[in-house]
Amino acid sequence: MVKVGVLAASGYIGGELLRLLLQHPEVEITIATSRKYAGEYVFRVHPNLRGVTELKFSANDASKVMADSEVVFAALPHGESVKIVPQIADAGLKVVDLSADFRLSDKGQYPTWYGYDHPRPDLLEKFVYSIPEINRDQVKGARLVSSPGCTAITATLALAPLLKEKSLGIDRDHVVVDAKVGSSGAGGKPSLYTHFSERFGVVRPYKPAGHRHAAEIEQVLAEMAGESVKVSMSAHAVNMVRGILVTSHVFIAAGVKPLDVWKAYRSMYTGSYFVRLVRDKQGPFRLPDPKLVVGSNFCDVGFELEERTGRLVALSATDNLVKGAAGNAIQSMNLMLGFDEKTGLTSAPLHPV
Amino acid sequence: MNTSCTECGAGLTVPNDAIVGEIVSCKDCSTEYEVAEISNGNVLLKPAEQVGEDWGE
Repeated sequence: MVKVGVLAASGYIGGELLRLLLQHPEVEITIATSRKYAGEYVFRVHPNLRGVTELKFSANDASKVMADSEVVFAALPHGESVKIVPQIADAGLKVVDLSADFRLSDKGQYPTWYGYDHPRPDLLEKFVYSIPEINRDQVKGARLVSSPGCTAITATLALAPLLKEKSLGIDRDHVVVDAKVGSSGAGGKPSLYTHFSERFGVVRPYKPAGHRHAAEIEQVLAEMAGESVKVSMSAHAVNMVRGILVTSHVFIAAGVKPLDVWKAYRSMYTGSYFVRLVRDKQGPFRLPDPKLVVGSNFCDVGFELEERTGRLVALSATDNLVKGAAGNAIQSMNLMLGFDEKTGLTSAPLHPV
Repeated sequence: MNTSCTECGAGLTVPNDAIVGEIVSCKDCSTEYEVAEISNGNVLLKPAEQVGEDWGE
């Protein structure tokens, strides 16, 4: 069994890491840290894990984490991870970081998007930004991995094949990403914005322009296209607990047919278990819907073509805490350790929810 | 009998004992086809009528 540690395990992503890692047949959780809940049983904070584990939270002590683990998952907030993870990375351990602190390869992007100068820019080129369906071979050889933001991975999985397939003639300057995000995407720390009376029933445009995840999406899409790509992104808080639906709009060359788009998706995702192509002619769920991925590591991808205007609407849905965070991180760890990437992640989505 | 879905391009297998008028559907996109003709082991399909969602807008 591989010993894994989870840094900042008391948040929603930390809880999801614990839930999934506790069911993983090849690893054991040796330490789970929380500054606030050190000494407390994990199930007091994550009540779904009562009877599943007797683990207690430990203090956020990097040296203890390093002593007890071979692989470390860091679920710290942006700007905090970069204070702790470098010493773990320098010590030679395997790291999967779930913050934004190692996602962007260009240090010059950090002041723009995150408001700080990166203190360890040398590490940015060492971390592999991991979307296994796109760069599986890179992740396999990696020791240090950065897992994408939840809306970023959801959007990127729908858009990457389209930008890669040159014959679709995508207008690279006008890629529009519109995300609808469930409340767990805002984390476990309560605020007026997440208070039930204010949050229930909303379709709140919380970031109509300038969303940070646009930087990650542009980074991957530029690699796919071989040229720069401009992403315009809006995000809305909607009335779900888990789930993201991303509706992306791109403009395509005249004459592109649905069959051409199917081919682009199949050429990238055939053999990728966790991406399901959904464009059904029957039933109430003809296109991706987050309702059908809850609790799973699937990303459902589909599309519709508006030939009159040359608009291709690409749709993608994930559970933000699984494929959008903990599930993708564990899938990445599986590849880093030489396991089948599906190990511990094959639970089917819940239905109905 | 093997053919392909004209909608999404996926492979489509029609049972050898299929009869004219039978409905077959694509595994990937569920587009339905009606078996229009069978001759010498070849099958001709035509699109079956589909029912769309009507929101009354």
